[in-house]
Amino acid sequence: MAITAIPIQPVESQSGNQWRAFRIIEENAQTFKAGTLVSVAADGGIQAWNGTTYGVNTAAPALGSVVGVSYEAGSSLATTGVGAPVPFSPVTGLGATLTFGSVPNEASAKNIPHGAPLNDGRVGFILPSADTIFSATFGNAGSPATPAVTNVGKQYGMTIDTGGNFWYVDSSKSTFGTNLLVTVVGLDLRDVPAAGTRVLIQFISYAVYLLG
Amino acid sequence: MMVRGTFAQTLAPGVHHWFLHFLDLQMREEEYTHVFNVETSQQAFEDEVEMAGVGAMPEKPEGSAAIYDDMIQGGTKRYVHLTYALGSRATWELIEDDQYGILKQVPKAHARSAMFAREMVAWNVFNLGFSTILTTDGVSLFNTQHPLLGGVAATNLGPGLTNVIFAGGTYPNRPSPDVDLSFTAIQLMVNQFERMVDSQGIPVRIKPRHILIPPELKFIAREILGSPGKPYTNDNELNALLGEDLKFRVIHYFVSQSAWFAVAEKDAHQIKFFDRHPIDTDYDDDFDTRSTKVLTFQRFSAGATSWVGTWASNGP
Repeated sequence: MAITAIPIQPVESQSGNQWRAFRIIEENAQTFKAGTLVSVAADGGIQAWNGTTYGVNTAAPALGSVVGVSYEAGSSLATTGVGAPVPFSPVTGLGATLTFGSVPNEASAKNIPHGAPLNDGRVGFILPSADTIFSATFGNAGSPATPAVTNVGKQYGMTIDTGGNFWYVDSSKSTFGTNLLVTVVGLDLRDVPAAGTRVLIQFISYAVYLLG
Repeated sequence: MMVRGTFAQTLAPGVHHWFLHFLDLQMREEEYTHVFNVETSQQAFEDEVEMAGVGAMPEKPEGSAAIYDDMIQGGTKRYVHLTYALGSRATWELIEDDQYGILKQVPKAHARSAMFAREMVAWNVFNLGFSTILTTDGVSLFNTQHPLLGGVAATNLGPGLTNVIFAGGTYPNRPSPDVDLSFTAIQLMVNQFERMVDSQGIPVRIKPRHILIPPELKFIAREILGSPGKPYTNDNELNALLGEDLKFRVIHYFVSQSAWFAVAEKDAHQIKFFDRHPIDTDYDDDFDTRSTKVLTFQRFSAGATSWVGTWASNGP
């Protein structure tokens, strides 16, 4: 049975503080979902993580490695950060991405359905800080796997599920310097352990791209 | 964080005078409220939609059916309220040892900071109006070719538009090329207001009322608008601009030294400021350190629904 993961979710901070979150410009054409891994593109926009770039074994943090877990879905912007405010400016553009129809004689005008999600050209994500504990689905090479206490303390990689939507902890990825991304720090006690239930994870600091 | 080490002079009495910039230097009076239509909001955002009426009424030949025309729905402008916040933190020891009560006045400094944010965000609608601030028609607020909902039919209908517009189906609220503030430039601006039509090409009554300028243009504006005779000439001609009843207003948040703007009275333009949450302050003490935190915050948005009733030249 192919694995279907659920969104990665922050569940606890060791310090008791709110998990640190950033909200910066979104790369164009992004369709990632909330609760997925994101990275920073060369032009500074937030994009879906490509699943292959790690911070490990590089002198400087590797641009394109995991920068966090999105708490908003990508908005498929036409242009990176379109409409985003510059310091002390309002939202400069139309303020929404969901539009319909067209406007006669005004090619650039947009109809925004009233109540459509607002957009300011930015997208939010939670930093993969060591202080923050996340919960994620457990699996093995495309199949759901049952997490056990013997998995706690182990380091694994993450893989996107077969539907291409959400990331799961992949116990088949366990090679240092190649694909390690998280440390399993516990079983998610909300679940009775079974195939594809959740584990608690911390991101490995040297494998991610930390902002601040 | 503010600690005793960096504010050592507050710890002992004897300082004759503290020159507190945030109290002793007067902040400028509110400027955005003189131009922006200030409204409140109870929502995450506000949507505004433009709508054009119908075109000119044609003759109906005897025995023929009447022509039918439709109104035209235009684009949407969404005002997204952003949150602005600033905090300060001081140690319990510093606040307790401050002999002058200065640290307790931090909220007053925050108030000035908050007011500046409101002014700067608001006036950046103008500063960025030549590029990134968009209105319902999808182009920049100040543009030489604002597309009209009625299209070419509108500018074909509008009386005398040939010498005003730069392309059929559009109307300008910016000269091409840009011009410096001058007697003739103001005449050009006034003429573009006088010829202004609605989206179907029907003339509308919109008068420029305020010329908004940076401080650098104050003296030339006073000469042009205040001279009883035509300025900068040896002739005894009347200053024809006097009859326009134009007032100039210096805006201290304009970043360009040469860009200048004109707006109609508030009820004739759609420049808006939504106050979602007014300036507010909260305090708290950290249990472990006893440090005091003060946080000032507000939510608002600013923008332009339509270009109508506005005009600008970006220097050159």
